[in-house]
Amino acid sequence: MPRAEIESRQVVVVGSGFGGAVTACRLAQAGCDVLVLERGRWFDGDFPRDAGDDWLWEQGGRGPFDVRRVGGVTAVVAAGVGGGSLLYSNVHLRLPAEVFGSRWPAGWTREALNPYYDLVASMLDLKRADEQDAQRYWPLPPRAGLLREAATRLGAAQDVFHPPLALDFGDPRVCRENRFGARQSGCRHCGKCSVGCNVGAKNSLDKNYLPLAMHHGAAVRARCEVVGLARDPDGGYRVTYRCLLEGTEHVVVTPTLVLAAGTLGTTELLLSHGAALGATSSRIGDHYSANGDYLITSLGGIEKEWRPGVGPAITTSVLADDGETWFLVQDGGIPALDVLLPGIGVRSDDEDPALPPDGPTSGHLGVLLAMGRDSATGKVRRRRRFCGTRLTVRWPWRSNTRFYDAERSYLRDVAHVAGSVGEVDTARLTQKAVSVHSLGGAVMADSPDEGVVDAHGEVFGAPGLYVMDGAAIPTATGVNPSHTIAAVAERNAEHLARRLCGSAEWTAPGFSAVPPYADPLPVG
Amino acid sequence: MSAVPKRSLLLAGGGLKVAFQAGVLQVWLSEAGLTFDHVDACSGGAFNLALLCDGRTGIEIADLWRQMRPRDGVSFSGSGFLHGRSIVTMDAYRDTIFPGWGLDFDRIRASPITATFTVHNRSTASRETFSAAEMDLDKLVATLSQAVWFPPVEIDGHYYTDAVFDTDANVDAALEQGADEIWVVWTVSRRPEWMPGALAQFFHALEVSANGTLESDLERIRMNNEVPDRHFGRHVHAKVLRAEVATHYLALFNGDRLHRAVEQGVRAARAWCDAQGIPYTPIDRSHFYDTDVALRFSDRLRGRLRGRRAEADLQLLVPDAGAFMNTGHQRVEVRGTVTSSVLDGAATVEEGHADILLDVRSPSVPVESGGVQEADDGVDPTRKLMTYVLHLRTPTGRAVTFLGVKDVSTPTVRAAAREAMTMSCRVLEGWVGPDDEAVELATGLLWMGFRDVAAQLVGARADGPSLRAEAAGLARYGALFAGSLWDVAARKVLTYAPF
Repeated sequence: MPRAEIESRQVVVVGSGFGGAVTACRLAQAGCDVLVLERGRWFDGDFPRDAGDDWLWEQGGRGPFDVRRVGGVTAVVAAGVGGGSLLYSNVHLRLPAEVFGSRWPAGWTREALNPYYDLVASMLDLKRADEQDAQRYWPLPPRAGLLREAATRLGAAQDVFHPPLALDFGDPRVCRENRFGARQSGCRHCGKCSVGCNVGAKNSLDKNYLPLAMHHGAAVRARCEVVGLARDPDGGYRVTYRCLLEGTEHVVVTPTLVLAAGTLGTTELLLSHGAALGATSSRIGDHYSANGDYLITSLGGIEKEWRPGVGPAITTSVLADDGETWFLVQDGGIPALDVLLPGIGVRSDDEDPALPPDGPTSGHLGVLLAMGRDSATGKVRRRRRFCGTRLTVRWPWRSNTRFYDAERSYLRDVAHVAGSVGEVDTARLTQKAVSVHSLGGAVMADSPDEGVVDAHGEVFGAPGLYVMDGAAIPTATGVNPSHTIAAVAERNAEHLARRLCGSAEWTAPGFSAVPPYADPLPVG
Repeated sequence: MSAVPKRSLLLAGGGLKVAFQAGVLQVWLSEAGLTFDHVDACSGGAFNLALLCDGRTGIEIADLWRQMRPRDGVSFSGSGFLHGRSIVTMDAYRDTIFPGWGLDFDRIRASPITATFTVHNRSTASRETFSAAEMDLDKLVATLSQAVWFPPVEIDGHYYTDAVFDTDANVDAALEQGADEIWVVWTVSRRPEWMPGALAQFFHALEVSANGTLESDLERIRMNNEVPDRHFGRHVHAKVLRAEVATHYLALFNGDRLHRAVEQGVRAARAWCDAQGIPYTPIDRSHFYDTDVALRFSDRLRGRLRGRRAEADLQLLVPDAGAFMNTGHQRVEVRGTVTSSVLDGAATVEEGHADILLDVRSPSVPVESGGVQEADDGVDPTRKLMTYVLHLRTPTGRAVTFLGVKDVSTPTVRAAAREAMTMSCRVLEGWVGPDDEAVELATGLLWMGFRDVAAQLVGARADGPSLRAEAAGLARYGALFAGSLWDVAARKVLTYAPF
């Protein structure tokens, strides 16, 4: 490719999730010329609903769900502008202070991270579902009361709390512009958070950080998948990406390359190209964590219904900390399923937002989730297969048996107390983890012997190459990790921005005026 | 009004529920030494009045009921049923129970008690009373012969049945005898519930009729007391002691349940005397039912305390099956361990007991209005509690109290069974009683899985003088347990279990 045709950018960010969107926004605000490459598409009220819609990434790169069966783990990953924020359960919880004591590099403490947590909280307008103005249009859904009652009966009343949610709890009948210029309306309690919100009630990144980044001149290119990374002979990095819409390949060179393609995406890029980029650590792919994700579905309830199709995806949480195992139990919301021809689809979004939505099929199903501090000792590797190489995760299920047993037992006890007549527990049958919270693989550390990137996210041996997403998180978070990924990205993006704009005093605009936000997680 | 008020006792009907009345007679007559100038009986109350006239004391009457086996009184009508005369007959009472009680009608006729047996004369369609001097076996049977169930009795060309649909407590008989005080022992159910089925409907009709008549009689007394001159010419004081007795009127084949009704009467009458300030000397009958059979059960539960895993591996020891089943003091000793990280590991029960399937009691204070005083025993037989009080010693030497409650009250079989398998718990600092104030260390829930229930059934052991006695002890425990759950959850079938 002739040199003249090669685009040049000051910063290229791969991925637009909690790492990429935050970094792109702050660097653009600092005056950098930022290009964001995102493999997925923009979703604007057109998340799939019918069986015939494109649900999966494999369907021509149009679907939001990328279900990756990688060895011992089935990782569910999002593809779209906004990354995981499109499909997650909106929960933002902070990492308890004691977690920073293990494996995190020097300088990372809860106190140090708190201002950045506050910043994310203010950007995403966090609100707990039990707050008075969050209940202006809808009360807490039935499953919130059911989980609280069950935990109370199990003697854990003091461990129940309502996590902060990045949701618009305003009027569900009014669509309006938010302060970043994106259109949103209030939550309809329709339980569809996890399949994408078509009414714009989720404060997902395409409603805040990304519009702000674009307002400051960042370019966001959707449906552009990075296929090659290399050192540019003239210094910096050369990024080759394929435009999925046109099928063409393009190259962009940059002195500062930020990898935020998701835990598995970033790790895969580093495993394939790390050596060529100059990464010196032998730890690429190590310290993978499934974040202890565990899910059971309880069947039936003698007197009470979970009604998972009502309310935001997660509203209530129980902390289980017995000194040996640490995890959270949460009430899962799933969209009410209606049988539609020719297959099963999710209820339409056209229903009256003033009516409490409920599905006929799923009232007695209870979805109970757990996540916690697993061993974070998985290994992501590339395996050569006859038709190319494939990513695989070696997940030590055995050494986490005790942990999973504790989670399973708690979930089943909660289900039992809430009147379940039986539980579906697929993980136990398959002995495979299903994770929607993959972390690690290119973790922060003090030295290349322990991790892949330094305490500021810069890859050891590859100056100007940064990892800013979940891959850099060195341990399981135990709590839902989005908040921590975003806060870590805020802190590291601030450091990077100071370097790029040459001002040691630079902070995100309004940073000093951000009010502190109280994290409701009880101290175990 | 005379200087010494004349006092009438009305022994109201209630089929086999009148076992309760026998307990009341023990307290009123034998323990408190109360006397009555006139006694009337309707329907089932005639059992007790016949015994009184036969010269029995209150305690003797109660003891006869304590020995009674209700299945001895069962005799089916056979061809009488086909002819529509009745479903069962009083033949077994005539041939077995009354001779067993030693009823002597010569003695009854010579009784010094002013007694009236109220019956309904079908042939004249009117209420009649027989005095003690007129009594014979036929007339006693006539007083007891509930239409539909028992055949009418033909005496001197007239057909007689019991009076329940006319009156179940003959206030008029008491007034005719010049009573200033009318005491009523009332066991007809007043539970506000409706159950389907012809059997339940029949007894609902009976209850509507009997309760309605009593209410209007009491209302008459209240109206009289406003202006006595326009009515009976004197102030009349009525006292009604009511109770919901956990036996069916007729369908009962298990002595244990009947004997618990006697003890309920004793308890209720003593509480009543306490409330009235009437002194009494309790007569201890606690060893009356002793069988020398001890029972042992395993009781395994698992669940959580303060959100942490917990397990209880307990043994329940019933010191004497007979006393346990009959006195209403359904207390067992508890041994074993409770394991949880909240208790630093496996804590041993050093002293523990549990009350199994007790009725919830909330005795009402006697309420008086217009000279009519009403008191209720306040037992709710449709809610059963199992309360555990365990004094534990943790492996680290701490003394803690474990309180557990199983509350069986939901009237569906599945929910009631689940409740019987589920124990909500509290752990308190130190060794304290269930109502003492203490620092609460944890709360939680333990429950039995189906395996634990199976282990309890298979692991039940009896220790007695003979294999037969041991088997009987276990069977009686099973009947108590199943019957209690029936009372909560199977009331639609029959309001109280027949066993």
